[in-house]
Amino acid sequence: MILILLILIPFLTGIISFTTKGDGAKSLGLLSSMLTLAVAAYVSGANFAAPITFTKPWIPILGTQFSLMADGMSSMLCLLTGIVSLVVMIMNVNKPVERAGAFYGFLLLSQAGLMGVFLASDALLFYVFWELALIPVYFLCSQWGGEKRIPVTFKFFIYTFVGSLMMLAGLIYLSLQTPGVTSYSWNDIVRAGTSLPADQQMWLFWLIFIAFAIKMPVFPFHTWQPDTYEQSPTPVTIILSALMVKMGLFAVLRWLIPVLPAGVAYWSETVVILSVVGIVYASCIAIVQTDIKRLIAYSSIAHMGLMCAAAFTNSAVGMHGIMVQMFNHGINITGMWVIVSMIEQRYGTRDMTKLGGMASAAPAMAIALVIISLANIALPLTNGFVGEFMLFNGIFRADTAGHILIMVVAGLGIILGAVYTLNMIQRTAYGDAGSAVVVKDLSVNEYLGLAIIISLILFLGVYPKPLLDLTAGVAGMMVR
Amino acid sequence: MKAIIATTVFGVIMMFAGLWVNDKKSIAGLATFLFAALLGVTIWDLTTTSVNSPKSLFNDMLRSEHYSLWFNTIMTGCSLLYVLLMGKEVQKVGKYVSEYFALIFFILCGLYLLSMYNNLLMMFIGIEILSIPQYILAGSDKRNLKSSEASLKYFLMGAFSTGILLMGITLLYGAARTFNITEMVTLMHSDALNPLALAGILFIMIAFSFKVSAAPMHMWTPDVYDGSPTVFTAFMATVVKSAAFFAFLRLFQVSFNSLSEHWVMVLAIITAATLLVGNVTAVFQQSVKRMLAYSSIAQAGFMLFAVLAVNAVAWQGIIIYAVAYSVATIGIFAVLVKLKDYTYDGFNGLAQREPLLAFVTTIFLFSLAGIPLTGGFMAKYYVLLAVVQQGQLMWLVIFALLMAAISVYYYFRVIIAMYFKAGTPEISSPVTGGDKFMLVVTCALVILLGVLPQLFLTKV
Amino acid sequence: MDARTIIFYLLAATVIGGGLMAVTSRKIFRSAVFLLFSLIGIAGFYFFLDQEFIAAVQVVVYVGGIVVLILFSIFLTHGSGEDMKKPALGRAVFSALAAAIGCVLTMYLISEHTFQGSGKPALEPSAGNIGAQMLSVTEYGFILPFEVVSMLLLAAMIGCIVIAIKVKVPEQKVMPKIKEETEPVELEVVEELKTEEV
Repeated sequence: MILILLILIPFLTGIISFTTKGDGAKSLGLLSSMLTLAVAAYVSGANFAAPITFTKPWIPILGTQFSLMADGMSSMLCLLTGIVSLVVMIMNVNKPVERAGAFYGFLLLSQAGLMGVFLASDALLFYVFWELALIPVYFLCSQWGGEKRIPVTFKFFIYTFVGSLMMLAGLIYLSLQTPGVTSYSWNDIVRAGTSLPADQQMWLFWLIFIAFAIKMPVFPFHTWQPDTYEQSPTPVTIILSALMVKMGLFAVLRWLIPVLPAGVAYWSETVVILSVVGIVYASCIAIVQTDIKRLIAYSSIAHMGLMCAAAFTNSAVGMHGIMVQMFNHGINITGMWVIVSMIEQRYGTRDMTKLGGMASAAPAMAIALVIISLANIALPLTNGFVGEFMLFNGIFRADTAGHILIMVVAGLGIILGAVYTLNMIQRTAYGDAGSAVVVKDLSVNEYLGLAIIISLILFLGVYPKPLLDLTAGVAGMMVR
Repeated sequence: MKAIIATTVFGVIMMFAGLWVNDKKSIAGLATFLFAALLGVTIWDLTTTSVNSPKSLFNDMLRSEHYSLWFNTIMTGCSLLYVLLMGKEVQKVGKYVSEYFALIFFILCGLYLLSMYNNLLMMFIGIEILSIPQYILAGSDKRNLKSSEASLKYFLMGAFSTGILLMGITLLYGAARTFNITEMVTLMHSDALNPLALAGILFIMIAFSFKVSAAPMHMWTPDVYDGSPTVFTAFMATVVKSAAFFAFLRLFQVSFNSLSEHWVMVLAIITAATLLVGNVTAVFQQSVKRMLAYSSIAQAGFMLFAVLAVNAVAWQGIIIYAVAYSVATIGIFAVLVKLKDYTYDGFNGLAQREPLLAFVTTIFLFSLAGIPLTGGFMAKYYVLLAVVQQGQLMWLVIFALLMAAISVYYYFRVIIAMYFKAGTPEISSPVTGGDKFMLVVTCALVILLGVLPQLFLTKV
Repeated sequence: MDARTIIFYLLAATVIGGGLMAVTSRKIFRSAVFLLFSLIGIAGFYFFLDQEFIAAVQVVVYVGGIVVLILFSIFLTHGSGEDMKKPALGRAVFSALAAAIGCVLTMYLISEHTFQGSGKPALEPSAGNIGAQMLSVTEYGFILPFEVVSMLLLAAMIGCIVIAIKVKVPEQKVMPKIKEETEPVELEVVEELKTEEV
């Protein structure tokens, strides 16, 4: 019962938000995300013996149920969604938004969709939420985004829609293979998938994986991402990069690796190579970017590439690392975007060559930037370190042929990450103040938002045990 | 059977109403009442027929199977919705309002025959009853040359396809020695590879492709749908097309099922061509009405999936597709008739001027594009399910999904125009509270179809 | 070669020759008349097969009804005496080809197929019998199609009236398109007046 609250609270408040006028929506959004976070924290904090489930009949003739399930991975991602949404709401408190009712309504709806994706344990329900999370984001970007928002968002939408449709075909196929009557429940889908002969699993793999690959995004499918991140308003960029890309990774872990083991085994090398190519490629491009937003967008591709590579290397510690890193990356990237939006708001530009001198003008902001950036490049004692260490460990222990080479190349990509991140810190925080704009330091709500992020970064960097414990059980199950 | 009698009687009543009632409004009101009564009669038919034993009528000319009656009821419901949404607009087309309604009643009679026929003779008559009133409705706006052109074009093409259909029926009769479609099964199976029967099937397939506007026999569709008065386009593109599909499915499912290996490939190619032509051409249209004409071709491609599948799910698929597609399309046309400018630019800024209209249009377009939780998704889901279950045509499924992604492009252009572009759309007739109420009801139906499709399905 | 064969070939020559002439003639009026010959030839075939009723129907409906209607409508449109445009060569060739292929296909299909009886008792094809069957509800009765067809005709009739009744302003209809585009307002007004008169 408690699980349905995670979806219902943002959904209902989202609907109500459309009808509000003026600032009512802001407080509603804040209230709603606090409530949701409280529920999510309860779900992930309380030590349940078995995963909690919630099942109600939905469309019996299709064999689909409204069934939710929260194991460690799900509740961890719900918690992340709760935290990130709250930070977004807090950061937005002092920002004027046109037609706030609709804006917050869409934000809350996308949150509901995300929660649904993370909780669904019925394939058709999963598909429905997968699409529902996308549509509010489409409207948010198209309405409140940058100059080129309409074509860019359109491209993004069509990309992801193609992927989802392919996935739908794959899921239908799988559901027809279930023993007895057609069923979409996770257990039956897994049973159907694993019992398929290897050659069928091989083509089914791509049918399903393509949706996830576009969402993550894995290397050749990433072209929608930098443009979309750049054109979206910051709250949406945060939702996209901190949460929606995790949908892709989560889906791989929940709906692909357990379902089609033979297909995954056959293609994992290809995917790992693509991911590593993506890491190096994205890092190289990030180095030459001068727009901070694009820089972070490419860095995000690199980080997701590393996680994706680890997901396909089939080692317990690697799987565990992904879980941890999904959470940490979500926190860190949120922090990055928050800082970027503050820079843009104060200086009126995102061009690094025109920025500088933040350390003297706004010391608190500069400190926050440094901490979050260092976490993003995984310095020890920050949360990023724990996750990435486990990921590399996982790739190193993999039983595939060229795993050492892959690890070295991926590591190179991450070192490149340090290069461009430090470069960015240097250009923005230090150096001459490029413009004469008087820059205000943090306001109260910004202090609050950044405090949440930074305290999480430091806490989980020093004492990651709660996060590790939460996801330990699930990680073990993922290994073939 | 009661419904057939009722619709005939109602048609005649409408005809005489034109003589005695001079007020257009009361004629439309009478028509609405009669449609509601007709819906009642179809429900009566449905409830008085047992689910498992179809009743054979008039020497097996008709067979009132449960799913046929179900289809009748649902399509009558769609017609009622159509009249409620657009009754006012019908009055504006021309002077002969009561005759238009009478013709729509006759079309419904054709629909009932087509859903229940068990004899090729009845099928033929049903198709003709369905078609002839349409030729007239297409040309009813006589002030507009395009309307006359549409009527003539439709008539000529329709007559041509009727010729082909008759040829097919003749060849089939020669091979099977009966017009009865259930008896035909056994007779055809005994000499399965009979060239005469195969040619007959091919001819009938071509004729039906004409009627449901499948490529490459779709050429008439854009001109006819574009030229006809918008209110009647809405009816032709939805209820009538669904009826033709149901007849198509019925014949191929009941009679030619056992021969499916011989014709499935041909139909698969027709389906692929239809999807390709419909979707790709729709992308390049500048007028929303014309885009909807091409989109109806594209949607026909999806409905053909049901015919291809030759299994029990196909019946569910065609019923739910018909109702989902009809409701959403009728809804969009109901919005379209309110606008003066049918181009995409005519929709610019609609969200500011009429937020409710823009919202319901968005939902209808979502449905047509097949976004989850709308009827269109469940419809696409069912037809895909039917074909995936059939198992042979996975390539076509993937091709169709790519085409569905293309369809998002042109459907979303309307949404982009409404929400993200500035402009002041010209409204041709005021949107009253009643209109809004009906549109919201339609919108709720679309969502209900997507959330609880089982309410609209019956046992097959 | 007996008399039957000679009659058969004569009839066939009438049908085919009439058909060919109807298609190739450049005067539309002549085409219609040649069509008449072709249809009469077909009626002859029915007589030849001892199907008097259907032969009579053929004469009454096609020869007496449809062709006469066609002739009327040709007279009503102007330009009935002029030569029609010569069709483009390509189009003519393809039409001929299509017709030839259709002909060959049909002949092949019919020659390949061994027709069998339906096994049902034959009925004397007298007009009385046919009429009785048409209105009968017993086995092989065709009452339902018979009645439904009457509805089809009713619908068609309404259609004819709706389409035809307002054409009191043929001058407007015949006018070329340009007229409507250049003076839409005026046209509108004229139309309004006309409808009020009706």
